[in-house]
Amino acid sequence: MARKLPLQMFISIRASLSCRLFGSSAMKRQASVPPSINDDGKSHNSAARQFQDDKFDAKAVENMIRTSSKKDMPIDMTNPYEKKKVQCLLCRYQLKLDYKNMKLLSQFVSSFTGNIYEKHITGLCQEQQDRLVKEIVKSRNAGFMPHVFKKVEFFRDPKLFDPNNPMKPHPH
Amino acid sequence: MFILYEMAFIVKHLPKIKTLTVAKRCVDQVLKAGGYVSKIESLGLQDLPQTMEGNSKGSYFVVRFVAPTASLDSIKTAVKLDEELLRRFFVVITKNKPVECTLHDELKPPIYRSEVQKMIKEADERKPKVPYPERNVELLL
Repeated sequence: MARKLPLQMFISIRASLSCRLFGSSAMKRQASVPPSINDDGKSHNSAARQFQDDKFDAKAVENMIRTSSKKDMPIDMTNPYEKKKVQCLLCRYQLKLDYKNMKLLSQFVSSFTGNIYEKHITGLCQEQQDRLVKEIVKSRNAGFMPHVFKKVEFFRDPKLFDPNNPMKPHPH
Repeated sequence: MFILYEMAFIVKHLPKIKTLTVAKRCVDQVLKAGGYVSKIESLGLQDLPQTMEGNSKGSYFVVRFVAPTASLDSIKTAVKLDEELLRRFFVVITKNKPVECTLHDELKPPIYRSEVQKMIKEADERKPKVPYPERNVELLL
């Protein structure tokens, strides 16, 4: 994804380059002539004189920007600071629901009433919740899963969510 | 046109030899109709989730087969009429599309959700209703 440099960036690059130019020439002068450590007033004047003697060559700076602009361009890459999107449990681990896999389906069913927990409790995205409901209905019709309760063998299975502390508040 | 199906049926609690014959009978229906069986799985004798025709236990079988579309009806009726089966279930095996998780969008406050924004757009694009005719204020007075 190619990004155009905004104007402010351009100005800042220009400023940084000009500073570099200034710095290089100033450093040369300092090497040749040692800085005079005088009283405050005189030292300021000496610094100002250095800058005044340096002429800011706008054309040279612009040429430098043009030639080195290609090297300085940002690399096309994805945003490294992009936040990771929250994913539901089934999408994160890419689990497939099957009507024969009664154990996985029963984890989303209440152990008290046998009802299928709703989206705000299970924390699944809309698609996965729809698929879950379809698969549970399939397994119930095929005679695998009970309609009105949860099988006792699956009571001790790990809990994927807390129905008393849902992701979103209860609508009722 | 051949389609991949899956058949799940439950056989009554019978002696092993009899359950075998019943299962064979059901699978033969597929072969009669011109299909090819690719997999037969036995999930064994299990407790049923509810009492079915007075039975509390049954043998589960899962059969995967390929059959022409026109013959599925005949297979279904033949398996349905079998008296020693408690349940039968047919499914077409299809590859589900990979899901793009939209949970991050659903957790946002309603105004920022893409679904809600779509609804607002649709409402704006709909033709405006004919405005209620202005009442004659003089009559009211």
